Parts: sequence; structure tokens; C-alpha cells
Amino acid sequence: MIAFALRRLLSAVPTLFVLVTLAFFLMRAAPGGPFDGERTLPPQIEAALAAEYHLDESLWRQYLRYLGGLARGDLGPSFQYEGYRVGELIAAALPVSLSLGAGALLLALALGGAIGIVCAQRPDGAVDRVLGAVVLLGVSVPNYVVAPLLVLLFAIGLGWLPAGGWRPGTLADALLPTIALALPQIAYVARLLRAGLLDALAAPYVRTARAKGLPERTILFRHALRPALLPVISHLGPAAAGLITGSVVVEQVFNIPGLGRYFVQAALNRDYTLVLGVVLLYGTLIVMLNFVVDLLYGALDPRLRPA
Amino acid sequence: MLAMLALPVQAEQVLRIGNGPEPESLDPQRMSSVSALNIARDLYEGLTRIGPDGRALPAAAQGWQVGDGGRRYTFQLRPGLRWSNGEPLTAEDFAAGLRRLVDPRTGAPFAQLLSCIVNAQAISEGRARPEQLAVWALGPSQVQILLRAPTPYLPSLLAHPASFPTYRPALARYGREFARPGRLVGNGAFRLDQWVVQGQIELVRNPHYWDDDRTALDRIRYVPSDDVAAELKRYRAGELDVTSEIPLVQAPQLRARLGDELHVATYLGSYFYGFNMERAPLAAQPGLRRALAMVIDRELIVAKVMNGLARPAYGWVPPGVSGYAPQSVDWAAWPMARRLAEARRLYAAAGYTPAHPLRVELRYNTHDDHKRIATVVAAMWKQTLGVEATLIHEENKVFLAKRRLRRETQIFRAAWIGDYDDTSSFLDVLASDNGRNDTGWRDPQYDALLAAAATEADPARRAGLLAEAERRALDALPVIPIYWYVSKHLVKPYVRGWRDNLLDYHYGKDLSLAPG
Amino acid sequence: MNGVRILLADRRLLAAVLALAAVLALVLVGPWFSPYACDEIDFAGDWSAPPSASGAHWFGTDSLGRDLFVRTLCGGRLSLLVGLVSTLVSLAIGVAWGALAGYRGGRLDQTMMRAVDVLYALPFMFFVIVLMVLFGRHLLLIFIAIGAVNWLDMARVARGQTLALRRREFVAAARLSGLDDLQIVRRHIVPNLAGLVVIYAALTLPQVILIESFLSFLGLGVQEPATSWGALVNDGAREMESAPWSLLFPAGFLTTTLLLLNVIAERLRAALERPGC
Repeated sequence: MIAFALRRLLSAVPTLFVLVTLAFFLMRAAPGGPFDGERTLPPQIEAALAAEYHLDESLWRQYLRYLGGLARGDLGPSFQYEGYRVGELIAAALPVSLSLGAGALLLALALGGAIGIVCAQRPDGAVDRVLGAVVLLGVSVPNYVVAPLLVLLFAIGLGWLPAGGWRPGTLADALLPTIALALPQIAYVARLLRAGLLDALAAPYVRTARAKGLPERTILFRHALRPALLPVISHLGPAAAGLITGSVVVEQVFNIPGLGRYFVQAALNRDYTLVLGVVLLYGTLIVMLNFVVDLLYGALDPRLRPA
Repeated sequence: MLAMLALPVQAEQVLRIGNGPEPESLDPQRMSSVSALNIARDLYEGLTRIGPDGRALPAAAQGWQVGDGGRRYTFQLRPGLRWSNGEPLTAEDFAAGLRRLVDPRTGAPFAQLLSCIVNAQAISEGRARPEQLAVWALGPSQVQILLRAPTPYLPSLLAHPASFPTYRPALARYGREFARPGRLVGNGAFRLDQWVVQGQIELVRNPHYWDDDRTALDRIRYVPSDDVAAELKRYRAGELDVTSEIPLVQAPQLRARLGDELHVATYLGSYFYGFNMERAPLAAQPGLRRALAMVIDRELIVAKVMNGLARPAYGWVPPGVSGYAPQSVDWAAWPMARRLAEARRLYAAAGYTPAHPLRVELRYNTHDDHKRIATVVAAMWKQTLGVEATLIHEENKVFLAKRRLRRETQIFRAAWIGDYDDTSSFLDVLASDNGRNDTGWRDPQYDALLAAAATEADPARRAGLLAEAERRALDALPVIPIYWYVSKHLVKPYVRGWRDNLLDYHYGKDLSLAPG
Repeated sequence: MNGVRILLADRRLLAAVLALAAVLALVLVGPWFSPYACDEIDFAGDWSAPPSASGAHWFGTDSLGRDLFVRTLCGGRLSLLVGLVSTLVSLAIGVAWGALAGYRGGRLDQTMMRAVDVLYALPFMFFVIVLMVLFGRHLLLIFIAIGAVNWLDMARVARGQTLALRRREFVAAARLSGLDDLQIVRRHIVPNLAGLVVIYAALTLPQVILIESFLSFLGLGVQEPATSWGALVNDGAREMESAPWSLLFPAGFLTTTLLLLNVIAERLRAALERPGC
């Protein structure tokens, strides 16, 4: 088992390598540099800055320099946040994004799961139709509309919750952003689970179980739920990576110091090292989560267990 | 025990300020954004500061003498100045700060701010060593500065954070990573307590500050935000006491609902469209540029697009600059009908007809407000002259790079915020050899007027020369002024000591919270 | 004919398709019924005016005095166009990639699917941003950028299906009759993926429209004075308190369309995956 995990992680190294290379050269191909601003720098100053950050070297040397740093576990200095290392920035933002993302994931699973199960019990019934429509609404409204609406309603209108900000460990701060982050995922989980359950409930072994006179509840939870969870899990793997690395929209609207905005801002600021840092983090998460998905698959469906 | 509990507890005074984008650095010589400069004025203190009326006041210096016909300044430091760690602060610290600013190895964005000091220019261009800067510590409490020419606004310049002192032991130990909590040592009324990137920067009062007795606030929390709408929501929810901005589209509602809390004041900034003066046809046809400038209805833009949060601009230097009478284009007072007629005549004279209209590209960096203005200006050009303007919005860095190259660009959006209260802060930008002159306009006579003004000791004659230079620029129109900025904040009524001013400087030490 | 049968068999699917057709028709011909043009600024009129029948501003005006009814419909044209073209691009790449990998198998298959894995690990948002920055804001490039990063799911599914098809008799027959691999993929594999492709198209379309709206949120969307639902909803979200109509109408259209597409995708899947179809 451990050997299998190690092999999986090792086999991810080339993937991550290609990823970093791709991102490195893509970023460098974009016009403009990290020190371009509305206030043009005098040429001598610009040259001094370029030398300080090794931007005066050939692209290949910079690439090798970056890889060398990576081998030593150093993600380099940030170009945008002077005085901070990329590693520090990520280490500071990751716990925030992680707690938000995990909360959103749990919420999506719990609420989406409940809706999916309720809907699957009476397909095309009134409850199914109403909930189905609500759930679809969740995927159909962009979250930059939902998030400010939540703030207007719960923070300004009712005054129940803060409009933004992040104090570590404060549930009130996390509530609205978690909901905003989870909404689309609730919908996906509910839809996938409902479809999966309906398939499973039509399967021969469930009919057998029914024929044996087992109660509907037992059939649902003992027999149908396991296979029905498979598509949910394979969707949630990559989705979790997205949730954990945060969302620009939610972080911007709620003023949260998470990772999500680095994906956008670092690219726009040409903060080359920070871009590579977050891309690498994302890639690693995807690899790890895919591994977790495979393990869960094995647990839910013995046929898929690795030899 | 009981007695202690019975003592009245003075609540901590914490001011929460919305501060715009996350600051890039808290190193006074390396920062450039408004949001970083705001915090620097609380963390550090220069020889001078800007008073609420916009004039330079003594700060770390208790006063200064001017000699040598306005070329030699001697600043006398206050007695017993200390760094925030209790170490004594000396004249040499101030001199070292200025040397660090002009040293090209520092990479200071404002390196040229003090090019009026003897040798400063040569040092920042690498032709002289930083030690050759004409700034000396005369003993522990006097700083002397020798200037190339009389520069009456030097005290204002020294209120800019780029000239603030940095604690050399921290610099030696941590290099450019010194400006962080636990490492940063300043000399301002507050010191750095906490910095959560993208979260908040919290300052706490500095007990070693010379005027600490009169500092009212115990803490200042600077909250960054990329989103003005989100900032406003936090203000309305009572989570911020001051905002950095106001969303334009919401201005009418805010004026009606929160009128007393809305602070709008003249600000030292110009919003304009620049022409690429190295590309036909606009470069060679002053009449065409004039026509395009004339038909823009600035009053309508200010009223309807900016919702009143700007002033229509007919000149380059904003109003309110000390010792200077604002200039404007000769057609500024014409009624719109006359401007339209003249513009149509110029447009036709340049060889354009409805069948053969001028086709231009108008570029702006991606931003909602720029988009709205560009859309309206293009529509005005189209409606009045028949100009076919294509709008092109570009991601900021791409936009800046192209604008600088002057190859693809035709007409571009730009803005200039003055660094200090003097006309030269604006007029220098259009000088031929200025790196920030993205138009590529070259006018030897304009340069000569600026050079003459720079060595002119008589303030009235200097103002005259500068006004003549500005009029030349307004005749040639390498840029179309559109509006002048205003500073715009929401400030809660219980915040005391907030005074609107031209530079939009608000020192934490002047502010307090009303009890209750 | 098969399609028509499916349609007629499912009343909800039929209703959704008809409703979508109505939205499409409105978007296409609606602007002709308004006296205003898409990019026309009414300098004399009221800016940010609420809806009224008197000025023929049925949806009100936006913050630059432009008629919102016309702009909403024009925005719809663009959003749907972006959606359609990007979906086609991503389906074309995905099907070609997946079918080829699945059909040829072996080392080629491994290499090709490895590439898909690598791209999966790339943060999609970052990728689109860099592409937009690199190649400017031409409409065509928006299509291609979105399409080019959105084909991965299709490729995986198409490959899986192809693996199954490869073993079927008619493929062997085709090979015996002397067709080369590319011909077989084109004539026999791809047509048999049609059902799958239709489902994926209906699933991808709403995603792509949402992506375009997200790009507008970041300011990387279409060029003014052209507009899209994403751009309009984004502008409207900024004014939701002062001018709620500027959010409600475009958001209503966007949401309705996405809802309908989602319903269609779901019903189609139910219909097509039923054995015997």
C-alpha cells in the first residue's frame, strides 16, 4: 500500500516538471515585466532591479536557476510583495484557503448529498422537481452575483454576520464565504448523486434485494449509496483542488487573505515566482487528490482495488 | 485586587482604515503605491511633514535655515529623537536615508524626486558615488543640504516618504527583507505590529516617538481591498472607519444617504488622453488634435460618468498648487456650439470627411471607470466629427509596455498624480527627455522654459516661466486633459481630526476617535 | 429522426428545447423592435433610468444611458456565440484526441492521455488569463482560449467509448475492407460518438458561458462597446443597489439560458443512456 502511494507520487514528478516548465515559459512570453508601472522607472534603476532579481540573465539560465532553487525547496522571492518569499506567502494563505475550502467541501457533501438522496427517492415527484430547480439555480447564477447579495442581506440588511475580513478561528467570518464557495458544488453533488442513485436503484442486485423484502432505507444506504458515490467522488477530486486553492471572487468580495487571488493577481502583476509557486501547489494538490479518489474508489468498489 | 477592578478602563482607540490595494513594500525607499505611502507616513517621519493646509511643517526637524540664496538648507533636529526600538536617531540617519534613495543599487522608484540636490542626478545615473551626495550631518542634530538651484519647495519634498530615514542595522542584517514585523524599526508615531498579506497591516503606537503624549490612537489597522464595492460594504457594516475610495456608480445614493460622511476635495492628479507623437496622422496635425480635444464635453463626463467625483480639466496642472495660477486652453470658455463649429472646420481642414473619416484606436488599461469614459469619448467623437474610434482595452502591464514603446499606440489613457505640491511635479512629465513622457512630444522651447524656471530664484518670475511652458503644451496638445481628480473618502462621524487636503495626506497622529 | 423521437418522448425536454429556441429567437430578432442601437448613447436622456414603456426603454438604461433591452439581447448574441464556438472547438479537439488515442492504443494512447493528465493539473483560470494576456482580446481568441482548455473531459470520455467501439465487429470489417486508421476513426468511430457528443455539448455550453462571464468579472472579457451577458451582469452587480434593473434583466436571461441548457443536458443523458437507444 505504502509502496503504491510512493510510486504514484513519484510518477507525478514528471507531470509537475512539465507543468512548471509550461508555466515558466508561458509567463515569460507575456508582454510587460514585474517592475512596469504607471510610474516609469529610470533606466539605471530598472537595470539595478533586473540585476537584483536575475532578470538580466538569459531565460534558460533563469529557468535553471529556478529549478535549482526548487530542488533545494526554495520557491524564490516574490516580485510583487517585496521582502516576502513565495514559500512564506503560500504558507500564510494556505491555512485560510484550506479551512474555507474544507468547510465548503463538507457543506457541499452534506447538503448536496441530502438533496440528492431526497430527490432520488421519488424521482420526478414534486419534491424532486422543486429541489431540482433550486439546485440548478445554484449552478446557473455566477458567484460574483451571489456573494455580494449574501453580504447585502446578512451583513448590511440583517447585521447578523460580518461583511468581510478574516480573523483566524472565527466562525462568523467564515460562514458567508463558505456558503458562497459551496453553492455551485452543492448543486453538482446533488445532481450527480441523484443520477447515480437512480442508476443503482435500477440495477439487478437492488431488485434482488427488494425481492428479498429488505426495507427501502436499508436498500438505499446499504446497497445503492456505495456505487452512486463513485461519480460524486470522481467529480469532487479535482473540484476539491479548486476549492482548496480558493476562489478569486469569494476572496475579493469578502476581503479574505487566501490563495485564490494569487492565481489572478500574480499573473497580472508578472510576479513570476509567485505564479509558479501557486501553479505547482495546485498541480501537487490535483495529483494528491486523484490519489485519494483512487483510494476511495477502491474502498467503495472492491473490483477497483490496486493489486 | 478589587481596587484594580474598580479602576475605569480606558478603551483602546483603534482606527480601521480601508487602504486600497495591498502595499508592495513598507521600505520607504522602495515603495511607490499610494497605499504603501499612506502607511509609511505613520511608520516613519521625515524632516518635515505636510500640514492640513498643504504647507510644509517641521516634523523630526524642529526648524530650518535657508542660506546661499536659497541653495543651502540646514535642518535642526528635535532633541532626544529615538527609533522605535529606543536607539537614538541622529542626523546621519537622515543623510543615509537620502543617500540610499539616490543610490541606483537601491532601485528606488522615486530616486529622481530629489534630483535638485547637488550630485543627486549623477549618482542615480551611476556617474558618481552615493557618498558624493551634497547632504551632510553636521554633528548629531543638524542636517545640511546643498541644492543645484534654489528650490523653494524642498521642505515639501522632504515630507515624501522616499526621503525618510531607514534603520541601518536592520538594513545591514536583513537586506531588502527588513520591512517586516519584528524587523522593521521606524521613527514615526506608530510601529509595525502585524502584517497579514492581503489581510491587514496593524500599527501600534510608538512609545519612543517624541510627540507620543499627544498621539490619541493606540492602534491603526490598514485593511487592503482590491474591490471598492467590497470596501464600501465593510464600511457600511461598521467594520471600517475610513474608506480609500468610493464606487462612482454609487455616488448619488451615498451623497443622499451618507452625505455628512462623504469627504470630497481637490486632489493633485490629472486624468488625460495622450497622443503618440511619433505616429502619423495625429503627430503631424495639431489641428486634428485640437479638434478631438474640443469636442469632448468634460462637464457631461464629470456630471454623468464620474457622478460629480472629479473636476472638468482644461489645463495640465491641477488647480490648488501653491504659488501658481492655473492655465487653460484658449477655447476653455467658448460655448459648446462655437467649439463644435471650430472643431468641424479643423477636422475638415485636416482632410477628413464623413466618407473618409479619421480611424483611430483608443487604448486604455482594463478598468470599469476607464471603460466608461472611453466609451463616452468615442461616442462624442463619432457624433460630432464622425471619427471612427476603436476601443481597445488591454491588461495593465501589456498596456504600459505598448504605451512606452510608442509603436502600436495611437491615443492612450493616462493619469498623473503629483508627488509634491509644486507645478514642476506636473510640467516635468512632458519634458523631452523625461522617461514618463509616453507621448514622445519634443519641444526644445518647452524644455528651455523649464530649465530657466529651475534656476529662477524669484517665485513670481518662476511661476511666469512655468505658466508660459504650460501654455505651450496646451497649444501643442500632446495630451488632452479630461478631468482633475478629487480625493474621495467616507469617514465615520466619530473620527476626529480628519482634514481634507490637496495631497490627501492623513497622519495617524492627528486623528482620534470621539469617546462613546 | 432518432432525435425527434427522443424529443417527442420527453415532454420536459421538449419544453426546455422550445423555451431555449424562444430565447434564441428573441435574442436574434428582438433588437429590431427597439428604436435604439446596441452602442447608442442617449446623451440627452436619463442615465441609469428605471424601466419604462414611455421612453421605449423597456429594461431601463445603463449607467451610460444606453438602452438595456437592446444591450441585453446583443449581449445574448455574443454570449451564445462564444458558447457555441468554444463548445465546438473543445468538442472537436476532445473527440479527435480521445478517439485517436483510444483507437490506436498502446504507446500513443499513453502519451496522449499523459498530456491530458498534465493539462488537468494546470489551474485552468491561470491558463486562460495568460492566454488572454498573450494574445490580446480578439473575440476569436476568446473562443479558442476557452475551447482549448475545456476539451479534457470530452477527450477522456471519447477515449473510453472508443476503446469499447474498437472491439466491435463493424470496425474489424472496416479494417478488413482496407480503410486506414484515420478513415476508420473518421467514418466509424466518430459518428458512433454522436450521442455522447450531444450530451457533452449541452453540458459544456453553460460552463463556457459562465467562464466568459468570469472573464468579464476579471475585466478580461469582450471589447466595448460590444457586450455579453457576463459583462452586463458584472456591471449590473456593481449597481445592484442603485439600479437593480441593470442586474435583474441580464442576470435573468443568463440564468434562464443556463437553466434550460442544464435541463436539456440532463434529460438527454437520461434518454440516450437508456438501453436500446
